[in-house]
Amino acid sequence: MDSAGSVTGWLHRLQDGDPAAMDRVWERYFLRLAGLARHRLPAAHRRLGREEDIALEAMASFWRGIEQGQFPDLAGRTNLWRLLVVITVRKAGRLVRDDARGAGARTQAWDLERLLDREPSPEFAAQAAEEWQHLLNLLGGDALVAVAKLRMEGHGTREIAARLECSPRTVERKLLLIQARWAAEVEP
Amino acid sequence: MSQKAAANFETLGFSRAVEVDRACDAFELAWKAGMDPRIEDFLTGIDAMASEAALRELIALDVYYRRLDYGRRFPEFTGDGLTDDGAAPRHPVATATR
Repeated sequence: MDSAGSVTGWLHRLQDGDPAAMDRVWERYFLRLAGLARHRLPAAHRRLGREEDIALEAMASFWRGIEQGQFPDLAGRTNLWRLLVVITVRKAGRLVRDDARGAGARTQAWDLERLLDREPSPEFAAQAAEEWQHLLNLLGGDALVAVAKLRMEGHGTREIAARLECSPRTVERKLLLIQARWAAEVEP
Repeated sequence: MSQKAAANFETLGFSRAVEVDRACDAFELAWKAGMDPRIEDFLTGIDAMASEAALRELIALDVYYRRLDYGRRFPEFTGDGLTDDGAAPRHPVATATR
């Protein structure tokens, strides 16, 4: 098991563009993300390998974001895991919407050869599903759970506000509370 | 060592943030019920360390719902010359160059 210090070290290397650090992210998180994606896909949208496609896309998006300096605050494992969870669940939500429009899923071409040489396991998938439910249970109130689910499905602040019939600032406030609650509890 | 009051919701500790969030929810509910609530009434009982952050949030909500109310009462008014948060009027030239 990594110590917090070594994790911090490879997070810094990741932000410096070190591909070996991306391998570490892969090793630690891919299986969990695939399991999470499987849990987030409604049964009608599940097909062989789709959750892995979503996890791959999430990893690719994450790497592109790193390269473009979009994630300056990866100061710890909690933030990294949260970010990956958000990216993955959003992609699952988009895939479902694409299905509804007939567009189908598109896998990113980024480094597939490097990423495809690992197999997800049912144990990790179950663990990720439990982790997702645990995250929701931590929130307690219905309003926070509703905001978290909509956000994870890829909806923006104003869209969530419209759906919940509240102000955009209220949504932002709930998101800050969710972030604070999860930050105290989530560990990869 | 004395603690410094948080000026923003983002810098509140979790328990105080929950407290402020509840006050804001109650305030918003009152607006949605058409009650034209007073901010002062919703600051009562808020921890002194969180009162500035609470006031900031309540004013933001108040501005938001007042703008909605103005939109309903004066549908012909476009809001040109007001900032996004409606807090202060701006000269149209300054607004156009933002």
